[in-house]
Amino acid sequence: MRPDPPKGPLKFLRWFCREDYLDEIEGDIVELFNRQYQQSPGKARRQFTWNVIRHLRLGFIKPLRLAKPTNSCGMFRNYLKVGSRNLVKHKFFSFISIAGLSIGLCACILIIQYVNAELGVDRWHTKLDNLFRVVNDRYQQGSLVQHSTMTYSGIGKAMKQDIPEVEAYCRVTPYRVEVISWSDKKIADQRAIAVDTSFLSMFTYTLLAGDRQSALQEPNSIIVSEKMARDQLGVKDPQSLLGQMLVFDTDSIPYKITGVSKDVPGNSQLHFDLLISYVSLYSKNGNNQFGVADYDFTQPSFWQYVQLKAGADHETVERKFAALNTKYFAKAAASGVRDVFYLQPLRKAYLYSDFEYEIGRTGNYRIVWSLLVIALIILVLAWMNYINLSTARSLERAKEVGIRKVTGASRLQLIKQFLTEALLVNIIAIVIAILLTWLLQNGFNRLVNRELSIDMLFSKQAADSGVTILFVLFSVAGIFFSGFYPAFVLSAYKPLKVLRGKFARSVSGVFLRKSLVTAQFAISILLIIGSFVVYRQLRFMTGQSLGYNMEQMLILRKPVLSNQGASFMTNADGFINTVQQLAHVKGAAVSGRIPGNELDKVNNVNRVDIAMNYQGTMTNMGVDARFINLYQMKLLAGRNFSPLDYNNDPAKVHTLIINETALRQLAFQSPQEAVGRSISAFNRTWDIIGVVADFHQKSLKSGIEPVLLLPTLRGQYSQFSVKVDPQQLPATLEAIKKAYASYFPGNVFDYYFLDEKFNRQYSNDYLFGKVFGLFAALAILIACLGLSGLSLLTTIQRTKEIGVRKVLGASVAGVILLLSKDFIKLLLFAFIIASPVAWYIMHLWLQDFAYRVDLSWWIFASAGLLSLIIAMLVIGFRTVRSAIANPANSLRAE
Amino acid sequence: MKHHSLGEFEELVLLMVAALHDEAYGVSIHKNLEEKLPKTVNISAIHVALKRLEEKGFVNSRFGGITEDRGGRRKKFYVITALGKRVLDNQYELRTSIYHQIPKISFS
Repeated sequence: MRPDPPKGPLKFLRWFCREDYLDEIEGDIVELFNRQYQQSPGKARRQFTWNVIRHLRLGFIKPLRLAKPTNSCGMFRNYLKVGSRNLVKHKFFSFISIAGLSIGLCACILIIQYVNAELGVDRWHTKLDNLFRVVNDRYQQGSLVQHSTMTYSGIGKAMKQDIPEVEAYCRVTPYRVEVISWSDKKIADQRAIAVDTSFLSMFTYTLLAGDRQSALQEPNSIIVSEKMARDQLGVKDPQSLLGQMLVFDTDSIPYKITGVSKDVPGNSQLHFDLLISYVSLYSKNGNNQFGVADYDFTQPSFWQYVQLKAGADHETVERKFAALNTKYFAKAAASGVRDVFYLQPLRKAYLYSDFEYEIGRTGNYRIVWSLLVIALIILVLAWMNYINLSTARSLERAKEVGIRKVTGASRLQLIKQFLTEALLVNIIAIVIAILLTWLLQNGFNRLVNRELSIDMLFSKQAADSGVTILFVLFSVAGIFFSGFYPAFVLSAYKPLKVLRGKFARSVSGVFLRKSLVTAQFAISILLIIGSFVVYRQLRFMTGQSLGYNMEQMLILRKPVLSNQGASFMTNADGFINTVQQLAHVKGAAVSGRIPGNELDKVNNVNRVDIAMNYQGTMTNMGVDARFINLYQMKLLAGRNFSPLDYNNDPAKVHTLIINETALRQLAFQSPQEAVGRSISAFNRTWDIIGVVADFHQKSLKSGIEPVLLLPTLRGQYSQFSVKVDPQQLPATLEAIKKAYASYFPGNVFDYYFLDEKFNRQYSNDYLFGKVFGLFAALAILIACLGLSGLSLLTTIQRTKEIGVRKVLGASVAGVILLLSKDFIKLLLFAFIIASPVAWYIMHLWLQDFAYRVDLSWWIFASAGLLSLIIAMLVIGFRTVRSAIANPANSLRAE
Repeated sequence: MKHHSLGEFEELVLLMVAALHDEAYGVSIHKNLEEKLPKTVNISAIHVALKRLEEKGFVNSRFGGITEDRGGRRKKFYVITALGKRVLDNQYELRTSIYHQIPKISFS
């Protein structure tokens, strides 16, 4: 036998050497090799390699094909033609691939719009990078009692004075504007904030009229929004409004319009219709003497923004805040209270907020990112379908590959061909996805309650956040990889083997296919479990007993234009008595806050009877004597308030009711023990007359706070709760409106149902739940499409086998089992993988909620069972049909 | 006649092509050169020299038949051209004439 020269060097030689020299060069060195081989095989091999290397010279190397004359256009057209014929020929499989991809892409496009919208909030401020919000943690005796965006009015000024990096500060505080008079019109429901002059220089809000520098300098100056000017004031030309007067009915002060602002864009965290000059709050010239608003370090009720000098690092600045504490908070420190200040970058203020007293709507970065991840996963599922189906069907294309190879196609060309086909499928899917997006846009906007459009993919903010680019790169990579694998498999066929006709079904790729199906089902099961848990948690939160009953509870608009003090109480009593007479009213009450409201805090609450190192912070709410009964709160001990507890002089009120949490914090052993004892709060002594069971003032996301119920009412800002019978609601409302008008003339009558408003606290969670559920359904749908395609293939490929088995006596049930066994194994495996992952993820998610459902086993079991049933339905149709088929039909043709 | 340069190794290869008349191809040239020369010669050097000679028009080439010995590759035979022969003659004459000018003194 003739010895073979070393393969590697030979291959290398053939690769680099010019074709026309190859005969001579290769022939010569092979001949030399053969001669030398007789004497010393090893030396011959070494010599051969050496000779090859020595031939690596410029003169022998193939010319670089820089200007290769190509005519790939024609070939490309052929690829497209064959590809599209193939798509049309196998309509079902094309449908599966394209439908899955379209759904996945559409989901991605919609979610990316949402993500871009969420990420775009406040990103449009030109000084964004230098703007920070002052947030503040308050510790009392070392424990955190407040984690808030509200801080002290003096802190901004102090920072600017003491820290050189702070360039400017701006205080923002909500301003109560209930009703505004404009000539003969009454305007209600305008959002007003009082802001420093720096507001317009720090933030990028545009003025249509007025001077940015001076508009907010004078006390009682006001900037109205374009929308308010147009809709409420009925003025089209902004310039004509300048210098006109608006009167706030709450204090009858005229405010001079010094500017008209362009409407706040939707992607702003801060929304306002009116900007009031901050100096109006405390100025001696202004009539609103609100001293703490200017330079105070005791009352944390103001939002503050600071602008750092360009290039300043906010963490370095934060380290300098400790000095502020010793300088301005010496008195607080002595009583064991410590405030820690932080700078929160404005770009994070909207999405990354876990603060109390937020300035506006907040988003949740975890929801945003997890939705994005889920959308991408769905797309990946669709690509998996494509890979699965095209490799599983590769047999059908094997002959074509063989012929193409024999007629001279290189492997690279074949890979190009199949990549072209993948591209064709993906492009069709992209077109359909865009159409789908266009169709579903309105529905999706309603679902997420946002104004989204496909432009959002290409907006400037989208470019800044990079999500769109990421998605495009992801899609290109996905299209390439999903196309490359089948192309790789198909182009590898050996033409001889294929064309000889004895081409056995290859086992290669089966493992990959199985893993992909398992992965698809694992993801689907994961999403099913996830949506089960989310729905259970949401149902739990809305169905949980809150410790009071808010069904059919109407809340009326505050009678802000009424007198404060004694006459208000008389009017309130009169109104409630009148309303209670109505046939379909079950009761009414008045209180300072209602369920769902954030309660005011009171610091330094302590026991009087025993010495106790406590000094706790509690919340308080003023209620009338009917409130506890109306809301069906449970009185554990003592008594409810009686009219005798109320006094027109607030200083003389001295009784209170506490809740169980307050009871525990004050270290009482039992409710009975607490009744009759005294505590100190608001710098005086109070007698506990009763204890109520704990109730959820806020949503179940937060824990229960210690609450003091006080028999004080804050006059015009109190809220009326009226429990009504839903029967003949319009008539009842009409009667209530009449009573309201007679007791509180001049006020605007409006109402809402408490339970609706209360449940709005869960709107972000509902959104998450809905989108999550939708995506879980999509994932299942795509996985099922793939599964049905694969099961169809297996049944087709095993038609003969089934025929033979049946002839030999196999039962229908046996054949069905045989065909579905494989898939069910994969499903079980997927379930085993998915369950722990789902458990972990949902466990993390539930940590957001102070009150949560437990992850019981049956959630997992039912999710597994559900996916099993779905899979069985999908496979069952095919398997049963082929199992009951007459074996004569399948065996006849041979 | 243009200036036809001929390097030392090229000259040796050209001589060998002429000597092996009709039987000159890479391996035979290599074998005979190695027999004559006191050093080993790499086959690639011969190939380079042959390509240059062919470019200069000193040799012509043709393909021979396929032999098993060469892994199914054809031999490429070289024959010297008239020009090549003339260059060799010139070279030879030049060398001999200079050689004859060497005074007949004995070198001890």
